[in-house]
Amino acid sequence: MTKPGLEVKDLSVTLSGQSVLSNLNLRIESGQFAVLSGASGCGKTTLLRAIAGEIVTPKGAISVPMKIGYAQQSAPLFPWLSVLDNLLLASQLNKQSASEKAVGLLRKVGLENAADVRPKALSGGMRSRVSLIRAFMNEPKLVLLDEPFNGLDIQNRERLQAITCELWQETHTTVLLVSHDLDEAIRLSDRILVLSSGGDRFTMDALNTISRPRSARSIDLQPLPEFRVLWNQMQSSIQ
Amino acid sequence: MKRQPLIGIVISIGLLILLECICRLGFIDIRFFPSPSSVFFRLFEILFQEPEFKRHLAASGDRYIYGVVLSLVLALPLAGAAGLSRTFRLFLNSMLGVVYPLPKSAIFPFFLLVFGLNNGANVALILSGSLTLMLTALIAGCVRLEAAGYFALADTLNLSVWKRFRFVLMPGLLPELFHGLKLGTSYGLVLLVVSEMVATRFGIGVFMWSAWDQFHILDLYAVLYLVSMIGIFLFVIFEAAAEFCADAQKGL
Repeated sequence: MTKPGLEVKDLSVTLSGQSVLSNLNLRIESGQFAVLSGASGCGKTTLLRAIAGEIVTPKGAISVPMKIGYAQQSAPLFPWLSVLDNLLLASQLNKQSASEKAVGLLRKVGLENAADVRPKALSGGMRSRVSLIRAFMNEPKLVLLDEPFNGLDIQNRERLQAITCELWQETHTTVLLVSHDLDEAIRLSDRILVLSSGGDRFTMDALNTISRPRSARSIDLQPLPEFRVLWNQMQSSIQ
Repeated sequence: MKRQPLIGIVISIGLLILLECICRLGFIDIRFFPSPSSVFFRLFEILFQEPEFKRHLAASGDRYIYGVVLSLVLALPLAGAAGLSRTFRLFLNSMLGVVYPLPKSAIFPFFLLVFGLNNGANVALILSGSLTLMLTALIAGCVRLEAAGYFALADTLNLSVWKRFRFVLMPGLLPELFHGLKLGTSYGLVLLVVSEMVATRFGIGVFMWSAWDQFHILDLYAVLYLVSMIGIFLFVIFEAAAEFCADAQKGL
């Protein structure tokens, strides 16, 4: 059996006296692109935060690689550092290699001219792009993405989704993406998981058999029968 | 510079003009409340024509700078440690809770006992006052940074202790550092004058005490105006710096 990219065993998380996750088990194979969905408040972000080590988990075991990249929902950046310095801070490479990598990633997301500006001058979409590429800066073995495309217009959304796919394919990393968007989940994933509203099991755990490369536009994938099957399955699982 | 710090200067000038008018119109006894113009005239005289006053000023300057710089040198690593360790922050906060309500001038005899009749006691008193205020402001900054999620972000990025200190805490705490300097330097001036009224031979506190003793009212006011002007200058500079840094951190 190959080593998993991420493994969670019997994880329970209680926040402010309320049970959010209960005896949850999850195994994601190394290099897999998994999308986690579910109703609002079911514990998707809590699961990501627990995996990222932001929440102390007294019960259960989480097995993750040493290097993790994490793009939070709010795309936080240090406001006193330039965009480039925000990226360099996340890197453990030497300064020269890190700078080259950061500039390359900024070019990839169309922000090469924003390297020296402070985050205050960026729009929400630009900040999401910086937060996304920062997650890939340190050559992570596992990348956690918490609704990184939220609040973006359709063009930017599709562009950033394509870039995420590119980065994943280039780095062969394991990705766990949280998304509410059914089309997005099907277009990007190898595997789709839907978390139950009690946070104790997955009401859907299906492999996505649509062949790659896939179109960056949902409308091109919608006529495929596999797309419709997955879409209906997700829809009913979330409900 | 933002408008707010300048308002303090404008109000001070306005009050001086008002006082000048009141004095000239004879509404108050100018033997006890001399007009600002006569005080400024006397201040220029003692500043530029009386070498003895320069000795007082130099002695006070030394004590003040040592006291404030030592406060800053101690406050930065302590605030850094408070930012890196929540446990240490709680401990430091409790210590401040104990020290903060103590009237600093009341513990001056203790410093005299420890350091003897020399500059050490004066510097220690200034240090105790400004360090308390600087640390209080810096700990508030640590709480702000934690609530804004910057410590959690540093955890997520797996930053080393040095990177947290250098790239998260120190730049993040700049508004509170300048705010602490604003309060600490002002309070330091108060403690400087108080401490110099006892147990020293030179210093502006000594000069003020002797002016009162010999009924040189104008000299007393001249030094009061000088201390106020230094206080306002430091207050405005640090307030502007704090606002500039806070503004640079807005929006996220």
